[in-house]
Amino acid sequence: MVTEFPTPVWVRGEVSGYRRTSGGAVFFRLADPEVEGAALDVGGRGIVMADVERVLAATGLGGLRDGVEIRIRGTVGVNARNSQIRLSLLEIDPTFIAGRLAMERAQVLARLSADGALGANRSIPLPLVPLRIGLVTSRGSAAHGDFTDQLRRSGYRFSIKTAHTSVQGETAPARIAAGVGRFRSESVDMIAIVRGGGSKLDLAVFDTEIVARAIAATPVPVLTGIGHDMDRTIADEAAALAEKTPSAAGEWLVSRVAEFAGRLDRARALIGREGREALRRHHHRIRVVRADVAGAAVTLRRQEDHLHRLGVDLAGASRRVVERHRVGLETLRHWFSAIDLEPTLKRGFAIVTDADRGTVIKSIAQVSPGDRLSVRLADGTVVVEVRDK
Amino acid sequence: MSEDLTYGEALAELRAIHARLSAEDVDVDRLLEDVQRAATLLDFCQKRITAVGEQLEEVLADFDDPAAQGS
Repeated sequence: MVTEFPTPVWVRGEVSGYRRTSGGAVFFRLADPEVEGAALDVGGRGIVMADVERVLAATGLGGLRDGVEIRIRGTVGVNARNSQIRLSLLEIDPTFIAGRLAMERAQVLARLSADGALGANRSIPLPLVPLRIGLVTSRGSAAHGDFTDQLRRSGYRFSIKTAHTSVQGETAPARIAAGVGRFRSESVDMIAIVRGGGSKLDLAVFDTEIVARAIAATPVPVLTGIGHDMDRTIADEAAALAEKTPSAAGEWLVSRVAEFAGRLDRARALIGREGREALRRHHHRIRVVRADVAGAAVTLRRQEDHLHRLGVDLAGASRRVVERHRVGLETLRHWFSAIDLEPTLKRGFAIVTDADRGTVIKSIAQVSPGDRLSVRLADGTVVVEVRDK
Repeated sequence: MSEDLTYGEALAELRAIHARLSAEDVDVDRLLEDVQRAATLLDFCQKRITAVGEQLEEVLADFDDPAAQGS
């Protein structure tokens, strides 16, 4: 038996031990995070919870869970059996949750801006060919599938290393930060953090300082694809590049690689064109040189002909010189053989000369009796005296 | 012939003897000597010109035979 105080009261605190029965009733503890031991058990009947969840959904905040700070109104009751006090939930103040989130976000942003952490990852140049991807996501989620499908369909050889991590719950921020940190020591070109759409409360993990600091400390550019329509998360602010969905993040990577591939194709085409042109020029040069060589060959042949003719002329001329001398010598031989007196003397003729003067006696008029004459015969000379005339 | 004689000198001497013996008053005493000398010179010149002719043909054979060129 529970006795309830009729006047409802507003209380605030952090949810813990959240559980929901099959009938839709909800039980949790509401604690003051700043005062140890200050806690209140809260229960919400199914019919009330349906209202509460509708209100939260309408403002984009998502469902209640552990770790969320809330402000609620309810009636206080005391259980007579065990003297436990319990608050019966009547309504929730959605603006309080939104305000808390906004305030926390603003505080985190201010701290990150103060030491330059927000710009750290953005100042890293984006890779030209981001093919090796370190992926931080929840295993088997739609975000995981959408992102990897984009890369696979592109046909480019992406290699994806995945750090699977839960993206919900109190431990989610630390696990996401650890996932990002893991790729610091691996050879990846970019790190992608992807998460499907969710409520503000779902996405609050990406507004945490630990995630933002993990991104800032990474030497590799981080790409986010966190599904949301409203404000950018702090993770988006800290990342080198933020896309609105996991698919868009995948598309960006594909188009980045495609752009480089296009440049490669154009360069290849240019090299091909230049190469062919150079080849054509060389062919032309070879043709010119070949023509020159052919011309030189003709000149050479002419020179050869000329030399040959010179040789023939020289042969003729030199033969003629030798022949002329042979004939000349022959003529001289005949002439000398004609005047050789020896055969004549042998036949009995003699040559008579004046023995004293040595002149040849050709006429009797040249001699007188008493003259001494020299008579030359074939085998010698005798001197005789003229007796008569 | 013991002396070193060129073809040109031999021919010049032959021509001198020829001129001498062609004159009106031939020195008969020198006649025989001259004729004998002429015969010697003729032999020398004949041998020279034959040798030159043969050598010339050898050289000209190389001229005409392309296979001998550049070898």
